[in-house]
Amino acid sequence: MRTSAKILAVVALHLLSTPHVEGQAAAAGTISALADALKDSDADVRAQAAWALGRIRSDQPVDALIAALTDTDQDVRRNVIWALGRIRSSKAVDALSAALKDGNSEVRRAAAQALAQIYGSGGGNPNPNPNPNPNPNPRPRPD
Amino acid sequence: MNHLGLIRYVVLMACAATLVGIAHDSVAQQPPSGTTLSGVLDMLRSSDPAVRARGACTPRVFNAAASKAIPVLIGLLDDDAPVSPSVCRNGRQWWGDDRPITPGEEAARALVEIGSATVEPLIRVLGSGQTIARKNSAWALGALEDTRSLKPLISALRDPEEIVREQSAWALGALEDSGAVDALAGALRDSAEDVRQQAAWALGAIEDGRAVPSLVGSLGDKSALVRRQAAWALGAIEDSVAVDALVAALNDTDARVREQSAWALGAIGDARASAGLSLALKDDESSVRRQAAWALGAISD
Repeated sequence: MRTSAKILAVVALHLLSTPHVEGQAAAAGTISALADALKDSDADVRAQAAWALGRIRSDQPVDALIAALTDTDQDVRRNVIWALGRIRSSKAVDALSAALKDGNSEVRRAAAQALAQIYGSGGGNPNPNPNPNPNPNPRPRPD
Repeated sequence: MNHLGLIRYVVLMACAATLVGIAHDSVAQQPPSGTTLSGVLDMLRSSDPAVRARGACTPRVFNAAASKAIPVLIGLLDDDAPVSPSVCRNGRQWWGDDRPITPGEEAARALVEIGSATVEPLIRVLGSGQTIARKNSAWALGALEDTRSLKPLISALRDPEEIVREQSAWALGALEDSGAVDALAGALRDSAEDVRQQAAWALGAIEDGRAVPSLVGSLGDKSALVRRQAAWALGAIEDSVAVDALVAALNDTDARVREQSAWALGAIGDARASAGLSLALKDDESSVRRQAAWALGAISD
């Protein structure tokens, strides 16, 4: 009982922390939940969470994104770099510079693009959607 | 179900047409004749189902000028003798579909190629033909996308046979005519799971907001397939009215329903879903967590 009460309390707190917002600005609770998902056991989830944070473009999760630059999965690292480039936080410059020496060429290229964005010399976003819509749209007709 | 193979075939017609001339298979399967309409008509009357099917899938013969073939093809619609797909040199197996085909399905395809002159005869078969003929007619009428088919297909949603109702629901989705919304909403309460799922698909294809309350009801269907298809349809319609119900469906017992509901919420893009989706980032299934993360990013637009 105590555990379920605790879960309820967490849920309630969570709901309180993510009030209905004006416009589409993401709530702090949503962003911290996505930042937690950067540590998910599944690499696809981590990559998708990084993509979502890049879309939201809040600087709230920058530390969590910088920590995720050491992810073992290259797709995660690439999306994290893409997100940091979109957020344009100067805090990420050192970590992104280190990523220029990544073993994966796609990651290195993403890091160069992200740095260009942060320094303002990257005209537009060269790779606006590194992780395309995972739409699981079921077959529209039954088998 | 063979009709899916047919559907795929028609969808990929343009692609297949360019490949037909390439003799990909070394298997000897040259039709006895089949470049002229009269030769093809002889094949359609053969006692060998493989020859009948091959006649019906002969390329470049069935077009608006081939109205002479309509009565014979209509007569073949009930022909469900299974035939190897290799008798039709259209590369069907190239996309991994090696299910048997039937002369009736190939006849339906040929009638679609002939075009609008076949609509009235097909409607007559849908109303009074044998079971397989009714099913194949429903498919052809959907593929023809002619508004004359709307009312007959709506009536066929009450056909005694499940396969006819299912195919008719598909055809109504292919027509994309809002006039079918009420009837399809009724079909969401069909006794057969396949019919309910197909009706949900069709309502998503039509994208009419009037279907939302009925589809929300289907999120409580006893079949997970139907619930998932309803979630898909609600995402396709993109009406914010569905948000609360879809957030509740993030707690469905079936992971694929939860995943599809997360997708739908991302497709709708209403920020009211953010709290529920944030909780779904802790789902037991990684596919659901990933979809929830995607939806949260999609909502940020």
